[in-house]
Amino acid sequence: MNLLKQILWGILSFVLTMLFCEAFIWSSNIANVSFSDFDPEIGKVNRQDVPFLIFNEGMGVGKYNAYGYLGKEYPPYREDNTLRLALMGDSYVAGLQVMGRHHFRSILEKGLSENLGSTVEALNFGKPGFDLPDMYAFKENYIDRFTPDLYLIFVAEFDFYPKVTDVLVPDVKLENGELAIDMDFPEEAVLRYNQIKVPPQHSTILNMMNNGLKKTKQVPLGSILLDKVYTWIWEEPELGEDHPGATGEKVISDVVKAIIGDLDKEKVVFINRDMEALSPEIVELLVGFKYIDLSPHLQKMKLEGKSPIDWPITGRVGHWNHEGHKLVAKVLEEELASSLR
Amino acid sequence: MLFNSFIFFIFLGLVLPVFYALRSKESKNIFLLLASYFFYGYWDWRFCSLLAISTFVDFFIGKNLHKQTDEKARKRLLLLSLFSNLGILAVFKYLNFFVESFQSVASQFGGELDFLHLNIILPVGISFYTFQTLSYTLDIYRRRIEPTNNIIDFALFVAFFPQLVAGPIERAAALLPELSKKLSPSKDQIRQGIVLIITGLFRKVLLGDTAGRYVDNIFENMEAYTSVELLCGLVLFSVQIYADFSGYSRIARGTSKLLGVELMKNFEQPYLSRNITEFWRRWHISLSSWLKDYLYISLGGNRKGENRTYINLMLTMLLGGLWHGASWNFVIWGGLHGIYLALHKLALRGKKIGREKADFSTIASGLSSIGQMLLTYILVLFTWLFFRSTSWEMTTEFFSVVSQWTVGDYAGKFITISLVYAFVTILLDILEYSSDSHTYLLKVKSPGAIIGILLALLGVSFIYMFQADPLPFIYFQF
Repeated sequence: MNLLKQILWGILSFVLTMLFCEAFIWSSNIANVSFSDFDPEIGKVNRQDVPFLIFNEGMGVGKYNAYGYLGKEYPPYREDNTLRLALMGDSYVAGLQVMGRHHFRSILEKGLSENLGSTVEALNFGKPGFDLPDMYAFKENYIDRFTPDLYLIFVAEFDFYPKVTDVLVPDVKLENGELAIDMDFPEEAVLRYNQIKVPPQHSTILNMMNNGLKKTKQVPLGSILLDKVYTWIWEEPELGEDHPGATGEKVISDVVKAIIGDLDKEKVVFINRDMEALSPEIVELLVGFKYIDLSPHLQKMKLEGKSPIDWPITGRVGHWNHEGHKLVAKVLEEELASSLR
Repeated sequence: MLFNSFIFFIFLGLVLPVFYALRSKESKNIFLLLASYFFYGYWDWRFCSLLAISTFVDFFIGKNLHKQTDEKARKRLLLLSLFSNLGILAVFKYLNFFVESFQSVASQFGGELDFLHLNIILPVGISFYTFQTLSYTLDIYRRRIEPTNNIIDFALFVAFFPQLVAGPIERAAALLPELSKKLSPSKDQIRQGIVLIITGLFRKVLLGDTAGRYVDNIFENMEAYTSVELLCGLVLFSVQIYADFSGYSRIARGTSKLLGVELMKNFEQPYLSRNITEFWRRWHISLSSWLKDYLYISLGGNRKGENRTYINLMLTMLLGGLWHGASWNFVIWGGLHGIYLALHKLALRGKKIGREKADFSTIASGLSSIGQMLLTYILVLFTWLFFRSTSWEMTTEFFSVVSQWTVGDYAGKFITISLVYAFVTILLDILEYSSDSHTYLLKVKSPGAIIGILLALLGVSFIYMFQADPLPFIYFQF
């Protein structure tokens, strides 16, 4: 009887302490709840109205707005006398490493508005991990509802060689020579995702556990637990095949060519967001589009001793830092202002 | 090896069973010594030689100091110990600081002395074990203790892994006798040890490390933040440094208890102090008492008149500041505390400060105590700015941004976050303060409830550690 009483006390105190920790972690933004959700008409989406504070390379503060995209909230309906820009790309465009006010979206919107003397609205549709087909599907399924005047598509070389496919992100295919977005998500995967998505959406601790599980898919469990002892016994863990930097066979697929062929040359601007220039084959594919290459600007900044992708606090080299965002905004403002004026 | 890493818990999981299985005092101490050298060498094995040098030098000087009756010869031996210990510290920790300060002065007169800079790595915990071994020779010199004849015990005293890299700075008079006996923890020590390790880990990981992420981002790029965000960053640093260091000290004491060794308390709810003198009785106790015993008193303490007392106080605090790191910012930090202490001493006019707790028996006395605590905290908070800024330029930039008074869109968010951290920190301290114990959890009558709470705290700490990169302890750099 006494043992049972102690077990009950144990369970009760465990649950209460966990709730206290959950409240503390949530209110101090130590960790976030999951931002991901699933919409059968779009695929994987961001949840709406979820503020976040993320520590990765830097400190990102912002919010997924009521429409599920990042930054300042603009509804699909728009005024005629405005210039609306859709920013599309991967984690560089999402820019979760800096505060909203330091993101190039804010700086560009303000700068371009002043430069052109009219209202500019920049909507950030950046999604980490997205490659060209993912962006295309997202544009067709969702971004077009916001009727942008210009689509700024930020790309790097590997976006043209899509490799990784999340089964809950729509696949872009060629059917009888026509581009088609496959919205038939595997039922089992959808069911499974819908079952497991709820706890991390409502608990920071469960979301941290989920992140931990994801981490074990990127690096061996042994290297997390054993620190450098792991490297005494086994070789250094290598990056997984699905890492964007991974090399693979480089053949531009027909789907990618068809996507580029399908995009409106008057409305789409391609921007190389990488430190390295795009290869000549890719640049050739983009002939006819306005093309802005950020790489010489980024390289110049690096040579001047202010690397746009170095994060001294975490010691990482990764996404654009504060200086990088300022530079990107400045270059885009100059390039776009001259062609829009 | 960081206490807030899984490898430390694996290391502990391997050390403890072997330690408990060993029967003789000698085998236990030899095993602990080997484990301690492995613990230290895990960071960089080359610096184990520094530990060994300190050990041998002070062991033999200690023996000779005791034997020697000629006062001049004793003084020479003491100077040899001071020279060798402080010499190593000076080379590894302060050489570049003095060279850079010299270069800075030289450049004012057009001199170019850049070639003088040396690439020296600062060995982890060097200031801690240097002060610990110094206390041994100083106490033998003052004839307070007798030297040990057992080099293994002495080597373990210098390298005892739970407190090797960031204290508490133990005195030979307290720790050596413990290590000279066969170590065998009692059931109470094991219970207290487990509680201290888990609550210390929670403080370090969930409070210290997470507050540190805000602080690092804000302080390293001040121009990107508003005045309110910067002030919140400073408040969060006060939480970080306390949670980080007191969390470490708790894990050190807890680990030590599992080995049957009692280490001194290093923190006693410092942010609940009602004045600056009380703060220094509660903050980094092992260092402040070391400085008082071996520096302030050696300088004459309060025995040489009022003016000299203030000078001694200032000198002690300035050197205490410099102990933390080779930077003028630490000297300013120490100097400010010296001024606070001197002013407080002056205001007291010889009246002694009692050690009684704050009085909350009436509303008026309670409010008065809270007011005093807040005022003391604000004074301390101001000094943390100099402690956290790595350069004078950083300090002036802080003042410059704050003086422009900008608020920003995220002010509410940052204020809320700072208040939440402050609330949890103070809540944990109030529980200790009111129960007079760091292991107040053990006062809960139900063992089931204690286990439930500890499992939850350990679980959350491990979950956080698993998915985040560990932050080293701030005091490891000192």
